[in-house]
Amino acid sequence: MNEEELVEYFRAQMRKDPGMASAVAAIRTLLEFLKRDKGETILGLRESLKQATGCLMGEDSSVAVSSGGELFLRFISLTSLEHQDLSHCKKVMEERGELFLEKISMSRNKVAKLCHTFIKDGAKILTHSYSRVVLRVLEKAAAEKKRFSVYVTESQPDAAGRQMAEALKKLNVPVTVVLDAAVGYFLEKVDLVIVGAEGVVESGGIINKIGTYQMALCSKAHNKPFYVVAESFKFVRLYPLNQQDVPDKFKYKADTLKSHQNLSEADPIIDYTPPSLITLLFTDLGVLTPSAVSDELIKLYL
Amino acid sequence: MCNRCALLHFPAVISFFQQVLKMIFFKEVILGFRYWVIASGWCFFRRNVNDRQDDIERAKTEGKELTKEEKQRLRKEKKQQKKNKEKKDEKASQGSEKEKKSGSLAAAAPQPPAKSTTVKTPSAVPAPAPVSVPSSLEAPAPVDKPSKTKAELKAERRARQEAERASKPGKKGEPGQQAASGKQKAPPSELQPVIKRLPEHIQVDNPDVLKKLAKKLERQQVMGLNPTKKIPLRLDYGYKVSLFSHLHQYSRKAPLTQQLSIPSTVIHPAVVRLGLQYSQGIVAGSNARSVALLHAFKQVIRDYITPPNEELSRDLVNKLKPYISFLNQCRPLSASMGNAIKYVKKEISNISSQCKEEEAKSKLLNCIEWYIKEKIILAAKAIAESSIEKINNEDVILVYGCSSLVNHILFEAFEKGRKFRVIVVDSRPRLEGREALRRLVQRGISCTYVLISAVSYILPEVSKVFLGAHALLANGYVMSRVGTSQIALVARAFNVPVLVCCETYKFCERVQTDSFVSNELDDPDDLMVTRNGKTQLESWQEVPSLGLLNLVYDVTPPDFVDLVITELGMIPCTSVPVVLRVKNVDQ
Repeated sequence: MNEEELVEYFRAQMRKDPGMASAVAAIRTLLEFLKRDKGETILGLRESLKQATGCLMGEDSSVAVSSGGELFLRFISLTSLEHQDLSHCKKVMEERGELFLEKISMSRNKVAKLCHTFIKDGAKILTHSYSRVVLRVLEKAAAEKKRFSVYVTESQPDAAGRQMAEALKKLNVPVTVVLDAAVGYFLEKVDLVIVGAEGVVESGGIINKIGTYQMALCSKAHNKPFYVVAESFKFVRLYPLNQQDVPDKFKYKADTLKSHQNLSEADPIIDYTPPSLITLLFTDLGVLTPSAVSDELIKLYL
Repeated sequence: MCNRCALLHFPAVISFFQQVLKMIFFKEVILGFRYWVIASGWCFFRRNVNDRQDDIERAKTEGKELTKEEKQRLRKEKKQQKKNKEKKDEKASQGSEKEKKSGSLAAAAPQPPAKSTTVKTPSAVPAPAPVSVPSSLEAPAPVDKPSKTKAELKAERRARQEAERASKPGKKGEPGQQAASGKQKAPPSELQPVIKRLPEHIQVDNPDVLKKLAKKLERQQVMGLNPTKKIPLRLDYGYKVSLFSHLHQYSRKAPLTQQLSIPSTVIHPAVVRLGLQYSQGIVAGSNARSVALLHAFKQVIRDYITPPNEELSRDLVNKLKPYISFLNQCRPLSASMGNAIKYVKKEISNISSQCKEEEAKSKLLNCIEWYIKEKIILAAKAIAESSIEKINNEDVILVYGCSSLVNHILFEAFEKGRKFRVIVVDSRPRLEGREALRRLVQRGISCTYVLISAVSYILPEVSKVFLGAHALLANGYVMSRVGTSQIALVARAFNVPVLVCCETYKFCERVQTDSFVSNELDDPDDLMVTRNGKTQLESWQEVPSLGLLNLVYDVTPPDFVDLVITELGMIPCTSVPVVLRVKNVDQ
């Protein structure tokens, strides 16, 4: 399976199910790659998987794709220690890969089940940009007959917030679209803030669409709880100390990275929110405090 | 029940009466009389035991906290019991002794095991028995009574012993005292589930603890050796600030080695040298001290010969104990040294008895080599590799004091071609930053040097702070050179990221939230400074209201630390207990 096929498969997966997370699509693609791989050694297999992940990053430069790919690789490597025969090993890997995919497709529902109880009747919620996990949580809360209203930021430069507002209108939830700059203005009216995440880093902080950091700072100043909802495959082995420390390959869209010579002229599309501003994280591993994220990561990776 | 039947327990008197009764009464009555004697003896014994049991119960429940009234009440009761005892003594001194002896003989068998150890075989010396009975009545009372009353009781007991010694020959003093001290040691072990014992090095102002420490040192060297060749207790020096009076404060001018005889047969010369190097500050720094300690242990193992009828695994560990006590007195052990010693002891005790001596010794030497290589040298390499990702070009890095690990990281980053400059912060009285400055400049790294008082002035220029650590505590607090916590605080105020670099062998299970409860006090004379021929503070000892405090360590809370770099990876400060758990699972 060469690069174009890989990218094509990935795009097809994304098109097929727009509700699927990009990380899940990436993992599906890698699993397909594994099935079609004609390598002879485990080491060769790992190398080609790493290359495939890099290739997918070139298509969609989000943190989630990178973390999903790394987790898949990790999952696979743990298998390879047990069996001697390569073909037997590959079969086991494929089975485990399918199992892994099944598990993570359930993760969004698990998160929604945990989080909807924190939305009280009559609550006013502020959220940022378009997040499928947050949408799922709000769907569940609406299904539980809770009455709440939502403020969504417009989230430029791609105005993804409007997409979120459309989806919420379909659920008959009263929604208002606000300017990114009006977050401080509306914060005194809201009761809680819920955002999704593209990646959860080792310190317990998150990487998300640009504007999240501002929102977190304002909620801290107003003493409003700031909740993050994320699936566990988004946990990534990064440890940024500040905004500057986030690697450039995540900060800009893939095409920007390829075309622009001087990145300082380009606008970053993500920012880093430190763990001190986050109240709780809802994941399929449970409800975690930011300091517990490192604990979970050590269990996953070490 | 008291005095009258007591008299009748005397066997000679009993037999005399029996003679009389034989002449007068029938046999059944005589038998009944014997049973009555035994029964009353049993009642007497039961009364004693009940008292003791009551005392034990009381002691157990009151072990946690004694109010003043309860203490006074106990004191009164004891005095009462003593008065009763003394009355009995006066009535018939010989008779009362022997009565107590038979009472305690009957009591010896069912007595609780803790006390029976001190009561020797009944047929043997009767002396311990009378001593043990009164002390058994006193000792079950809670141990944490004020020492004043213990002294009182001891004085009274000693007076009685003198009186008995005058009437009876025999070795009463030593066994009696040992029985008494044995009794005192037994109740603490009973009470231990209730009270946790504090480590000795932070109870310096408690004279009982010091006495225990002295005894422990004696015990560790009693192996048929000349008592004059033992290691003395190092004395504290100068006035101690009251907040830290529970810690040792030694003078550098009075090293422990001056009081040792030459050649010292008790302590291995390599260990003596090491102790001197520690106390004079020649070997300083967490890693340097641990490595020096392990090298000294290697020398000890090389020179070790198993005595006949002894097993290497047990005897070598016992040999190491006095060395460790000696080193502890020269300079308190660091957390990293503690972990290294635990590892060495574990390896020694894991040597199987089948192993020949040469084989065992070479195995141990290899283990120590492995520990040094993996936990210190390779760990430093791994940490340097992780840290280089955090050092970018055009960075301004602030370091404090001289940490071997931080210096290593900066050297590696410089070799890899990163362009950065360093600000070295220094503080009195150790002025360790000068050593770091010298080493960095030698490599060609551009440096700035400031004292700690200028840290808030220089921080706006800084992009990152790299700190070393002496130990990482189980609750995420970082124990490091005094001044570190201050730098972390100011850096947090300026929003500058603080990175702590620490190997995992420095992680310790202790929990501390402040710098007072456990610390090290250095020589207060170091704070004196001589300028232009004049030494200020020269006569500080003569000023009664003046105290000099030379602290060595402080603890930094985890909120001020952004990242801890270990050889296992980069972890937040709150994940230290997770690493400890993972490590324990591995072992």
